[in-house]
Amino acid sequence: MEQKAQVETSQIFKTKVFETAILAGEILLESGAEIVRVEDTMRRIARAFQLENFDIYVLTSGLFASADIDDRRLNSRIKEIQAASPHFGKIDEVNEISRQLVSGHYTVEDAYERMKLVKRMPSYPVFVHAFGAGLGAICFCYLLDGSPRDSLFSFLAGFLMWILVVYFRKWGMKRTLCNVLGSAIACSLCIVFHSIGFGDSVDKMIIGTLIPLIPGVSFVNGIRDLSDNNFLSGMVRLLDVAVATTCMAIGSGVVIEFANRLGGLL
Amino acid sequence: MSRILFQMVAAFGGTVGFSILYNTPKKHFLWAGLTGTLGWMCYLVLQRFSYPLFSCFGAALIVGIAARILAVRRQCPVIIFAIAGLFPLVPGVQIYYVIYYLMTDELSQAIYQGVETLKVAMAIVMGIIVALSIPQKWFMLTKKRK
Repeated sequence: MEQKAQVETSQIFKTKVFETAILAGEILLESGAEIVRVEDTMRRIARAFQLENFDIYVLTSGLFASADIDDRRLNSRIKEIQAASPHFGKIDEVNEISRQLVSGHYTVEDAYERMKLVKRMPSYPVFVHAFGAGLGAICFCYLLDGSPRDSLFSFLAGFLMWILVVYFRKWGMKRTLCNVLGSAIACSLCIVFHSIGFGDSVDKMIIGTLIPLIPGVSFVNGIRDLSDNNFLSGMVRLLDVAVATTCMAIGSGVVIEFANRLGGLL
Repeated sequence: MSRILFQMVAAFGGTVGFSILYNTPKKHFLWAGLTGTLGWMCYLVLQRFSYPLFSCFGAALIVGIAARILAVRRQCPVIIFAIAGLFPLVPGVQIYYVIYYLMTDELSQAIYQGVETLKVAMAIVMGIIVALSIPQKWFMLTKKRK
C-alpha cells in the first residue's frame, strides 16, 4: 500500500519544501555524492509536494534552485558548497529520509529537522579513522606482494601518517599541502623503518602506506559525472584528482630522491 | 590454497579500512568488504586467463554490477559499494614506479610505466562506465520481494 505525501498549498508550506530540498542537496553535495543523485533527490522532493516551476542547476562547488512560492514571486536560492571530506553515512541518511518523505511517512517539518541533525552527524573519531588508514595500508601492502613484515610496518606508518594529516588539517593547512606532507611523512617513515632493519622491501611498504591518500571518491565521482554528461563537474573532479596525485608524487618523490642521495637505501 | 585465503582476507580488510575512512555506516561494512573481495578475486582469476588490461576491465565491470545490485537490494547509494570495490584495482605499484623513475632521471622507463598506468586506469574507467550505463530498470528485477 503506497501512502501519498500530504500536500498543502500555503506559502509557508511551500517555503519549507523548498528549504528542505535545498538542504538535502547541500548535504549530499558536500559529503561527496554525484551530481545526478543530488538533482534527482531534490527534484523528487519538489515533485512529491507539487512545487511549481522547480528548476535546479548543480555544480560541484554550489547549487542554484528556483521555484514559485506564491503567484507573484519567483523564489530562488544560490547555495555555495564547501566540499568537506567524504561522508557516506550522511548520503545514506539523506537518501533514506527523502525516500520516507516522498512516500509520505515523514512530514516536511520532520524531514527538515532530521536533515538538520544529519548535517551535524559526526565522522568516526580520529583514531578509528587512523585505524582504517592503517588497515587499508596493511592489506594493500599484502595484496601488492609485500611480505607479512612489510605489511605490519606499513600499518604502523599508515596509522601515524593519518593522525599527523588530521592534525595538519586541524591547524588549517590546505588539502594540497596536507597531501604533500602526508606522502612525504609516509615515505620517510617507511624508509626509516627499513633502514633500522624492519621490513623487507621498502617500495612495497611505501605503496601500501600511500594508498589511503589516493582520492578515490573524486575519481569515481568524476567518471560518473562524465558518463552522465555532466562534463563541467566531471572535469573539475578529475582535475582535483590530478592535483592531489601530483602533490603526492611531489611529496614522496622528494623524499625518495633525498634518501637515494644519502646512500642508496632503495 | 592458504595463500588465496589470505588474499581474500586482505582484500576484505583493505576494503573495510577504506569504508571507515569514508565514514560508511557500520551496517554496510560486511557487504562493502565482500564487494572488494569479489573484485580482487575476479582480477586474480581473469589475470590468469587473459592479459592485464582485460582483467582490470572485467574486474571493474563485475564490481560495478555487484555494487548496483547491492544498492538496489539494500536501498542505499551505489557509491558506498562501488568505491570500496574498486580500491584494490588501483594501479598503485605502477604509479609508484612512475614517480620513482622520474626522480632517478630514467625518463624512458618513466614514460613506459606512465603509459602502462594510463592503460590500466582507462580500463578501469571503461569498466565502471559500462556497469553504470546499464539501465536501472534491469536492476529493479533483483529487488527483494516484501
